[in-house]
Amino acid sequence: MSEGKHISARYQRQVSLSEIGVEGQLKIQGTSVLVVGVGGLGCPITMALATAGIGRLGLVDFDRVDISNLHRQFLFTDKHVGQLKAEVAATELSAMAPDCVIEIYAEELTNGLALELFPKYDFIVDATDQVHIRYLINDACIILNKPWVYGAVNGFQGQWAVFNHYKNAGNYRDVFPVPPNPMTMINCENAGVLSPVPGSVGLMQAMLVVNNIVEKTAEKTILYTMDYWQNQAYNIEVVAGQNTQKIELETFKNMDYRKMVLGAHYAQK
Amino acid sequence: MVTLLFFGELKDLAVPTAGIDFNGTVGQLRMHIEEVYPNIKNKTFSVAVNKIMASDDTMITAGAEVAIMPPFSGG
Repeated sequence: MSEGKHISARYQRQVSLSEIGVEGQLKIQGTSVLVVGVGGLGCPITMALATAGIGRLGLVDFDRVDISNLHRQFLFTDKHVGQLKAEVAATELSAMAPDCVIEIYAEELTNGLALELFPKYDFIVDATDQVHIRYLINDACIILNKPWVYGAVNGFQGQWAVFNHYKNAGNYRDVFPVPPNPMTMINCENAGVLSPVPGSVGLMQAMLVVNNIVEKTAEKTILYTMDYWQNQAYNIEVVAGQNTQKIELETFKNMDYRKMVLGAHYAQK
Repeated sequence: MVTLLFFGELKDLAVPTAGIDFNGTVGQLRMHIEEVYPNIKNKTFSVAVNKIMASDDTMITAGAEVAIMPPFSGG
């Protein structure tokens, strides 16, 4: 295995897996991933991807570390409280994975920023807790033909999926054509969250990224759901194109996603 | 009999039942659910029939397992 010379001993244990091997490891190292949100999901996602050998990792987060983040956002410790999450994460991830090139964008994801950044990365990962951002990521990825990985938690339940990862794959609008009313949505702040739940969902998202880098054989789009309290999994097959709205580039550029999410709710009444 | 499974926040709003007698489409089931569980009214959810995402005109046949799935938002 002469080509093995190119691979650092750091990755020996995963290269030993026949499904990964040298070829898979080189694919991982040749891939760039943009992670939107470095919180409860974003910490495990970025830690797993950087240490697995992802070549380039982009981090989008404008938020600062709060003490209430520390129980589940494993990249941060007390000394980081008040600092920008993206900056702290870049430092910590560089120490864990010195081979990984880390690029940070300590700003809110806007339509314009998505159009500017997404083409520079092979995979986009949604690790936010904002409903409108999820639709923004979905629409931008369809316009730019990028695969993306979704993840979210609700109490002890988690949900994740990879979308737009093959021709005519399902997307988030196939699953949830009508945005929920953000005013009635439950988030970690008002509903509470136990660290293993986003920790696990984030790692499942990272797994989907690696899986799709190494082996692009998917022919189905699956929405994975797990109840971590009951230890019960439930997978749903997503049917692509069932009355799904498709947003074109010109519409996207001027779309106010916050208003879109609210507007859908008012229109329903 | 049709088995209903509620996920996410709806799990706590809907009292679980062993099964319901129902014959009709997913759209009709939505109306039925809102009647039986008024506190789910105005909640957004998608419906999967036998683990396949359904549209409002999908028919629900006897013995079906129906998942009531709201979007999750926390991260």
